[in-house]
Amino acid sequence: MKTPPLLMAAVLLFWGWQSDLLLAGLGLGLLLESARVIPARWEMTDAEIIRIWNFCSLLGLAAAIYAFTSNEGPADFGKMFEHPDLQTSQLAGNASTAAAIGLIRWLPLVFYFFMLTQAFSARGDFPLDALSPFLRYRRKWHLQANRPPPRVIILHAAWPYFMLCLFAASAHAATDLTFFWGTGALLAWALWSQRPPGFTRLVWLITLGVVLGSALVGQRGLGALNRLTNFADNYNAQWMARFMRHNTDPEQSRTSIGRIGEQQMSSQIVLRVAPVNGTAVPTHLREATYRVYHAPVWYTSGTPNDFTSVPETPVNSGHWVLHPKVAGRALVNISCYLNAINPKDGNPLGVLPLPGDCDHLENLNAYDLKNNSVGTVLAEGPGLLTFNAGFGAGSSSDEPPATNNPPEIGDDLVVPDKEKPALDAFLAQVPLAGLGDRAKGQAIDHYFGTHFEYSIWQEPPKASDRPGTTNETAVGNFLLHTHKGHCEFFATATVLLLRELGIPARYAVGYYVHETAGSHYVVRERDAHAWCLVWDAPTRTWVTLDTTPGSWVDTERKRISHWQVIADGFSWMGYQFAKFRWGQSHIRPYLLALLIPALGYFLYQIIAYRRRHQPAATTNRAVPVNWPGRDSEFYELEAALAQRGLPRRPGESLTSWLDQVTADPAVAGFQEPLRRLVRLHYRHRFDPPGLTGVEREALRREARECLKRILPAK
Amino acid sequence: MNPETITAARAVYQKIAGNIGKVIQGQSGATRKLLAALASGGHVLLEDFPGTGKTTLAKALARSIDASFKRIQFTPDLLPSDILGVAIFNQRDQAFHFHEGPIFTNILLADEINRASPRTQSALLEAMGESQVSIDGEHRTLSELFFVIATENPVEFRGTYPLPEAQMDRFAMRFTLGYVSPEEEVSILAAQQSQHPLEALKACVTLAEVLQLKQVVQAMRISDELKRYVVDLVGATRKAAGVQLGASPRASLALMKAAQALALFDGLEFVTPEQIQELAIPVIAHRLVMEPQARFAGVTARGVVEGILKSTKVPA
Repeated sequence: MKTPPLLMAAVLLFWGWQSDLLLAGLGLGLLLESARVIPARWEMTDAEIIRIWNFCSLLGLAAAIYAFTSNEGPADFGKMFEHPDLQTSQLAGNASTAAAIGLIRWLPLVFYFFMLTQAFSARGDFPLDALSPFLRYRRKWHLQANRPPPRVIILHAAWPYFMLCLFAASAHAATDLTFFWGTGALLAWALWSQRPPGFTRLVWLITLGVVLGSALVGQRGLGALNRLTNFADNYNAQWMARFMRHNTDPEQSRTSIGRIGEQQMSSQIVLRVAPVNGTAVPTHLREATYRVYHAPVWYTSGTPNDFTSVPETPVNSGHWVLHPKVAGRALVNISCYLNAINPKDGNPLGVLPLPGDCDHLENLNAYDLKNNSVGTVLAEGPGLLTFNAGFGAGSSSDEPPATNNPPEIGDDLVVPDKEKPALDAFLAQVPLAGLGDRAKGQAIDHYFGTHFEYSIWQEPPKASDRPGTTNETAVGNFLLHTHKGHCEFFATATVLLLRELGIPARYAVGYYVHETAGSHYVVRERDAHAWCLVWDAPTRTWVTLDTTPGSWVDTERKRISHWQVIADGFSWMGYQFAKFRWGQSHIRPYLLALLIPALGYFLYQIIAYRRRHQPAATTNRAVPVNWPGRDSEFYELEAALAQRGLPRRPGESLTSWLDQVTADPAVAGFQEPLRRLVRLHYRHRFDPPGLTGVEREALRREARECLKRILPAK
Repeated sequence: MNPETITAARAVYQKIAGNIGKVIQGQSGATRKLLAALASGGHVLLEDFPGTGKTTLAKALARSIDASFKRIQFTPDLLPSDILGVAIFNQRDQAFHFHEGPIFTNILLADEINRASPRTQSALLEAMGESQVSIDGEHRTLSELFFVIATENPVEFRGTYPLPEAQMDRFAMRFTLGYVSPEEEVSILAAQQSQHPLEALKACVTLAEVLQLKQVVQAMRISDELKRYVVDLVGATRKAAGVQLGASPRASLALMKAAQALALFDGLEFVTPEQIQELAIPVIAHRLVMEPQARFAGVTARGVVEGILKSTKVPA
């Protein structure tokens, strides 16, 4: 190795320290440095180098696949050596960046085998061709075209490996300055060994000091900036308001009521719903519920952020209980993306679309789950969640209505004063006399279904009706004049009408499930829907009342583009990839099952090839003509001397070898007989007429004699 | 071949070597190689710094043999006809008469050969390769002993022309003399204090004796295994890294012949691996054309041949 002694051990030790693998780093470093003391070397052919490089590359690929598919991230990969607690594994595996960092951290281990082979190989340097099939093809191509082959570029892996170790150590650096000073010291050491001869040591030291100083200042500055932004993040108490997913904010819902023109919604698939055990799929999947209307926005309540954590029982089971009274056994399988990011830890975050009376969730790989008093469930977890939602009548976690007298803000009976005239005028048109609460809701629904129509096109109000000239609100305009609107109009109007009648009601948003795709249902962004939740006093439950005319589904379907099927295909592929990436599918075990034999095969090849092909190569070389004189007894003498530590190198002639041998004190006395013997042996070997019978006998006798005299001399 | 002939041939070598030794001190290795080339019918290129005794060595050899010796001082304006000769029209008898150039001799000293243009240098190609010259479409055979000793100096670049590869290949050997040890240099000073010893040098062998020596050398035995070793060494240069053009079969031939001569000098009747190893660098290295990148990286032809000698398994 061309690096200064112990530098590689130091950098591996540093890496181990920074990556919490101190012992591993120490062991690996010492093993690598032992190449300086151990003289044994391995003869490597190009083919073997290629095989070892392929093995390391495949190992890296396996690590990458494992790291990126692991639900718990690369910490899993590290479990071979350590046992991190659940908290660290969750944190490490949260985002793909964490996976990449984990992978970087393990790079020295992945390429260690290659580095070790180079350190222990007889050739010291490896050709770059071994690393790149492209370079190998280029060489082959040149040879086929009878052109001089390109120059072999020699790679010495020690320096790149040194940098790789530092890079890997940076991936898991501690928050203090140990990494900075450690890297600085190691780089200084490495640079010292390579310093240009033209400068004095003082200049070199001053330059290094300036570089380290400016790096420290820069690093400190960056740290301060980082702390500042962290503070800003934490200071913003309203950060929860940014968790919007498909316009669903647990705190508020800005409706399009009062907006003019066409409502634009995309056909992107946002949810996939599948029935479990043949149970019918609920038509409405609610994301959030709101209580306070202040045109045109619905708010949850007066006090924001009343989310409380939902316990996972038992821990790590994927089973989360939303309502203690588990009434029904009906299950539905839901897959949804979490599109927002928690600014605190970078985890994906989002609101779960659930059946209205959902009581528990199964197989949910969330890290954290929260819900609020009106049944909105906020999940933090991998980017894609697939889970089973259990639901049944009467098991909603929604709180019963608050009905203070006089009503307070946040109550479920409050109607804004400016809406009241229009509501009363409308209610006068609907025959409601003598009906019960439940029947009143149905009557309103029936009236909307017969007298109103669904429209995504909202005309501007007539000049005479313009706000400011009259006191009419958008809802009033819808109820009394246009009689046309989209789901938000119907839902808002229904909630307000019911409240005006003294029936507690809430505004809910979510998705309407109706489009089948094979055995499951797909829900597109334009299936986003709003409806009314009405309190059913006899059963003490919230009941879904969807007053939007049923024709809305057909109206929306007409807008589907012919190209939608292609977009859906891509969406399906994206979904499969997301499942794979977030560890929700079973591909990962299969991949591992595939990779482990492949890795094993490569390793077997590296080991077995030597055994299989090495002897073949030597026999190949031994095959040539059986030259005369190979029976000379001189070879016995040579073998005996070689055994005594005086071997002859392949390119060394007998005479120059003898010069060396006779320099050895034990053999010094035999200079003359040995020379005579070599002359005889040479005549036997290289003089075409060869030796006479007597001379041949003399060679045998003298060689044996010499052998006898030299060996006991030991 | 009877032993007396061999002994006589060996005595010729010893006489010449002894005679040269009177003039050139501390260069027995170079003398040995020079005589090996002479005895094996090859030509020699001496490459060394000025003043190391290249010309003296050549002249000492020429004086030691009772044979014709000519010298050409190569200059940039030298023409091929200055070497080969020219036909001149004689007005008296109205006919062309050929005037032989200096090439018609036994020993030719081509001093500072790289100062002449490649055109002139090439005039030597045919003479050195085939021992004949073609002038005006007429073949003229050179004498039976034709031995070229060329010198060149490696430090100068201006006003010099590197030898063409084909010309290089015509030389059986290229070697350097090198500086001698301080003690030997002192004795050189002492020897030349009054008079150059070269002046006093007398011929010690006849042309016929040298021709006899050449015949004995040709009869030196060499086993097939060593022929194979020679071919392996030369062949390895064609595959060596950094070499653009390896050595030719002519190199194998020259190596074998020169090794035969050394075997005779060493008192043997057959060639051993030692003689081949001793001559491998002077015979092979100057024929290799190195890749420019390898040259810049400090790889020399000599280093390549040394590496091949070390890595090729020597018969023993």
